[in-house]
Amino acid sequence: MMNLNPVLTIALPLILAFTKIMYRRIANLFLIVGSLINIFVVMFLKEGQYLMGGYRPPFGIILQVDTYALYSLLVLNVLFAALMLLVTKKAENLTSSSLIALAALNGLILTGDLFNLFVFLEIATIAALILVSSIKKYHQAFNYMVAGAIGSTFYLLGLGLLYKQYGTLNMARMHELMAASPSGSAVAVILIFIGLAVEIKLMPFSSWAAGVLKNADEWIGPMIGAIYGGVMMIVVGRLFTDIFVMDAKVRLMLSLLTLITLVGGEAAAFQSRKVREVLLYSGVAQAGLEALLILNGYPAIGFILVLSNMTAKYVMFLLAGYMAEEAGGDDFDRLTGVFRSNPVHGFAFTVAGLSLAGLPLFFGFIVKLNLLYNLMLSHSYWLPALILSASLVEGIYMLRMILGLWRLPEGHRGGLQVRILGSSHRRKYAVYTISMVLSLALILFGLAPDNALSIARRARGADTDGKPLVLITMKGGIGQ
Amino acid sequence: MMELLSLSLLFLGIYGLVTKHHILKMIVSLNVMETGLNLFITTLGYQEGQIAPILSSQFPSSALNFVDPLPQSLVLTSIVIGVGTTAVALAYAIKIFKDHGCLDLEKIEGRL
Amino acid sequence: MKKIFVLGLMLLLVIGIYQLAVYDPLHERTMAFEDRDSQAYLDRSVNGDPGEVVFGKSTNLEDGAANTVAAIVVDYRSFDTLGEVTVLFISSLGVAFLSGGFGKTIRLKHKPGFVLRYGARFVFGIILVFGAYMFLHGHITPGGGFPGGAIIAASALVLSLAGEISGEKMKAFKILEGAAGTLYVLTGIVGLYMAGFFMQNVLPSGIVGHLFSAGIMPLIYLLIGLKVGSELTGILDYFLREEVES
Repeated sequence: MMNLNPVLTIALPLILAFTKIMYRRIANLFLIVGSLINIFVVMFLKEGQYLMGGYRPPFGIILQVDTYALYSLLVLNVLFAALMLLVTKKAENLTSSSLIALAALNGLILTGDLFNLFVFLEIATIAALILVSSIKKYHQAFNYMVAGAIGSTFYLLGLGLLYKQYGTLNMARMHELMAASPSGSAVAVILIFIGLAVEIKLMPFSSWAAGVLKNADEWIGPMIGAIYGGVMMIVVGRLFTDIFVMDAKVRLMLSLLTLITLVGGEAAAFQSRKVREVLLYSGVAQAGLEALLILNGYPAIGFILVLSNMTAKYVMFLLAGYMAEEAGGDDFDRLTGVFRSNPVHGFAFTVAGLSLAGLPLFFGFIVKLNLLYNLMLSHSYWLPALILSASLVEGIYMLRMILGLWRLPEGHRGGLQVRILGSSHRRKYAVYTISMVLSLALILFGLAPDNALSIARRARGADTDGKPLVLITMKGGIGQ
Repeated sequence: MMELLSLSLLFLGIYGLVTKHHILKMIVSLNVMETGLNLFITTLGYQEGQIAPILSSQFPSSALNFVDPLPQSLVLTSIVIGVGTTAVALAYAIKIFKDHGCLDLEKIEGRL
Repeated sequence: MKKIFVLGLMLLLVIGIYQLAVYDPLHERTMAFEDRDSQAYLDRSVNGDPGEVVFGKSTNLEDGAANTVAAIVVDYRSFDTLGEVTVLFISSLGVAFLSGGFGKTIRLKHKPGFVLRYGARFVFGIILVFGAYMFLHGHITPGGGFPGGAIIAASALVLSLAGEISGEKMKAFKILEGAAGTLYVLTGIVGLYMAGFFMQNVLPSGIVGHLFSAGIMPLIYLLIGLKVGSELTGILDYFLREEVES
């Protein structure tokens, strides 16, 4: 059995990005080969700690491969490579930036060092800035940059305070020391959370996301809305369950922020009449929910919710980008009946949307069912009530949007004559295939969730504040 | 005292970022913020009377009382990252000026 | 009104953070320096205790640099530095992408006279040598690849102000940038397959304080210096083009 070092998932895209400057003509080839090789490397990774430079932790930097990192990497790299296959034409001038973004996202998931995390965060942010500038809304991108800079400043400030108190940057060692004497670290933890809140789009800090994603095309939408958001949430999941020790007050304070986001996001999405705006605000609301779960001791369900939302949002942003491009806008009125002429896309979009809203048959439903059941078991009632009503609102606007896109417009017979991707056959089938495969995966995991759930529990379930995580599966009803 | 001053510098930068809407002023504020942060981190590794962490013929032994070298190397990294961010920000400023003919974010967003 | 409110908020944050997290007269929340991880870097004792390290005498340390900050930057935490170089690389890419790439020649508004042109050439050499000195001695004295690279970029700036930098020269810089970056990552991979760890020092570390010491560190600083120099030159060049064009 081959055993590859995880640093290759970072080093190979970097080498390709550096050498690419010298070979401009075959840039696309570099991009596709690079992202496919990365999937291959991820498949041969083995769990364990990998030292950098041969210096033992906590002194040297380490890369940490555990179940959590492994499955996150797999989803990330598959989604990324699929996106690169689809948008080769648009990515032509941005090959190096895309490859570096991939390296940085891999690094964010893998790293076991808090300062190294900061470095990757910065690389990822600057790469995202350059990718975002391809939609030519420069002042929105500038706003994103300012928000990101303030966020990373807060992160580093918090990290500095932690270093002053505990004298280490290694994650595992930090956890040990913090568990031994948690007092006095509250300010630093809050600062770090605020710093990351910019990236995961929590409410008072998420105005940049609206500016960028409202105008996103089929490339920026999945990239920033789904992939970046998901990876940042995975980072939050690692930091705030495995590393930082918080007392109940801090937990409550941060949870309040996520609750505001959940409610505010759903409200904004409910009001909106544009496809991409609905998607982005529902993404903000989902981020609030995910962060809420992570903070309050349900990291396993949070993790699986992150992955399933990442996939669903990816499909939806992708198709929304194409629709907006073909129809010249994304108002509901303009797009009424668009799926009549594009039934396959319509199917994929519908599945992803229903899964995102948590309707039965789909993966999102299983996740939410498990979540509510576990919350009920631990005798908390206001939280499930809130989540249930938020899901209800989400279901309503999601259904409203999807039905609107299927409905025949008045006066027309054959539906709106917008063909998604009429021009190039190769690309058209690629979009068909990828959106279908991903939405079928959502159905498949929805019908047979046992494996996914047990993986999530293996990745995250060990440390849920001593509460055993009960999983509802399809096999024997309820298993523990 | 140094800590308080550098923290003030940091939040002065954030104050500038929040209240100003001229892009160049925002970029200056960004740099002020980064400088404040870098100073703050450097102070974390310093105590009165310690020497710079470089072995030389004057200070030849590792047993001497050196400052903490780690914050300094973190600041080195953070300075370089700041340079990169500033370069990108300035390129954005040029691009925005070409598109809109002015650098006032409030005007630009009001016009659109 | 808004300004006063924000100013008040910032003041509150400064005082709050200072009072709650920084101000610490009893050292309850400050770890003593000798207990921090960084003490091991000062003692060069991460992978085993070598005893007292003496300038000009100690040999075969795990890290043979006299400058401890440089030892952390390019050896103990070299992986961060790779990321740092990548940040510069990607921001130079970003500036290139935003300004629309090569093709336009710089036409300066002033006409460089005789003194400027020849003076620039003369100063260029001196600054270049100083930059090279900076990154070659980075492991012994303060300095290193980043300031060295910045100095090299300054020398290139002098040249371009005198109108002496052409598009071809910039292409050469691009190739240098790509090659130095690739070599840097390749050094890491060589470490991985020769010694077992990414970025491991595969050369003997020599005597502390000598020019030829610290294994691959001078080599890496050389690569960083070249890469940073060519990147910053590229960024300056793009901005110069922009300025002249409009």
